[in-house]
Amino acid sequence: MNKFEIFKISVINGDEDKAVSFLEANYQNIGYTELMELLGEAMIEVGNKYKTGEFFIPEMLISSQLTGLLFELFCKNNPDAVNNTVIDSSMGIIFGTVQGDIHTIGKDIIVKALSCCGLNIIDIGVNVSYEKFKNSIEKHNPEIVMMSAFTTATRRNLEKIFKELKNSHPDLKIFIGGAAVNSKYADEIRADGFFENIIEIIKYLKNR
Amino acid sequence: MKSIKINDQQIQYAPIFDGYFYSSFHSQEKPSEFWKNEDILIKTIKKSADFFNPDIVMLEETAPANMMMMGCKIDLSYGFVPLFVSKAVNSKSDIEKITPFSKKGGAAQRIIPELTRHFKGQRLTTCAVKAPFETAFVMRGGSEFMIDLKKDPVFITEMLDVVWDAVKPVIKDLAEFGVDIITIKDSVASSSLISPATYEQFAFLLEKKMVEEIKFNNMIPLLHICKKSSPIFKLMVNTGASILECDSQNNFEEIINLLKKDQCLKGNIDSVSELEEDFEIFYKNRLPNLCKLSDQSGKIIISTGDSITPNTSHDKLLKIEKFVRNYDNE
Repeated sequence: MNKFEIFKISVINGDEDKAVSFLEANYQNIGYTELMELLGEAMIEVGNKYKTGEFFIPEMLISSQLTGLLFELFCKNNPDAVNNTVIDSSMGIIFGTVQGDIHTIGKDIIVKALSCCGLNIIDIGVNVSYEKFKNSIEKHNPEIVMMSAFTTATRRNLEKIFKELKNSHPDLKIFIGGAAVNSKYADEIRADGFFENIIEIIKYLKNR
Repeated sequence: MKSIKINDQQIQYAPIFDGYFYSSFHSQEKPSEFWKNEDILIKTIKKSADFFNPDIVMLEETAPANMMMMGCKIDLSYGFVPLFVSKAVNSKSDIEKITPFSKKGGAAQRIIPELTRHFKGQRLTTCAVKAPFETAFVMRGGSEFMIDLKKDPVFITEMLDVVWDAVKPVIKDLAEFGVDIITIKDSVASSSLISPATYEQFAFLLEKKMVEEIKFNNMIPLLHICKKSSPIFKLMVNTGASILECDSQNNFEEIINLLKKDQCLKGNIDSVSELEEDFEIFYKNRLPNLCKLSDQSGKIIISTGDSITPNTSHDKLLKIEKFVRNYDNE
């Protein structure tokens, strides 16, 4: 097993000491994209372990929190590597969890990871109403809006807010994410897309 | 269909319409007003019980009021359910600030006795009280609580002990108000969220203590855990709760075999997939099967659960009620 695999396993197991030590020793040996892929793979594995009943919410949250911390540490200590990503940092993104939903961890990780790339990402928090999205769009004039929903009950809110925003801002790209939605649902409501994880977001931003 | 005898009343069908649905039943009122105005609350609960004819009625959603008293901020402006938007315990030192709370002195002092008197002899009444595990979850903040379960179990244990002392007086108050059943809400102790080992370590013993306290106060304990609960169902049985409430993800046919002689299951219909999205399929297939199982075992109260959304049509609920009441396998 190579050292990157060992690092990945420490992230999956939420072993903060091991994962942070590895990263601190390897700031110069690892690129941003490589780190993102390793952490993305780790989070996918955590998700699989949840699906099979090996992991539960506490284990998932601990790994997610650690992922956010590792992104933050990397960006702080290795700004050159971050600057080499080919994402257009001038684009503005607004990100919020829809009204009725106060889940914050998934959104926080994405915000941290994208901020690391120098993107102008505006986190408008959780329990965000249509009015708050609208006011924020008018204030910041973003190119992209990302909306997340974690619970089935709030999925309806996401759809309602999405439709209202599309009516008032037809040219705005609106993407959805979170445990309550999927790509089929994104097609149904005619969202501009669904992102399963941070890797998909970065890939989209790089290729647009 | 066979019914279950509880406190000399025959129980078959128990849509426990709590705040989620009451506010939709009174949809001409803004939800925020509904939660603040006790006259509207009393009127709506009476009206909806007459309309839907349940055997058990939820008198109030005590949880938001309790949590507000414990320092959590709640957003009442959103759709149909109060949303906990801030936590009360940010650090270990905040545990000391948790003080026992009482239902006496607040709106409940009027609402609950008035409604228990109104329903006496016609329907059983219940109030929901959050178990210490779920109370602590809200007070600490969901994510933080879940992380602490693994990273700082001592902190969580200390917090749970203090929260239990704070929750306990509510049980006595509700007994004095004439409530028949206490619904112990421990939704987040679910196997969909935490492992059975974590459940046993942190939630189980306090649920058992609540059951004992409720029985000591001559009321009936009903234990509700959300979503997947079959992996912990044996432990739920061992809490001694008289009624165990489970959601539709669980195989009722299997778990009723684990019940003890004096226990029954309150089997919930899924509020989204069955009551809203695939109602016709549910009505034609699963509902008759549920009634048959209930009829054969004499151990299941068929229930629409307590998470009916405001989008659910009243006609669907009336149709279920009629079907259950008129079901005759012979």
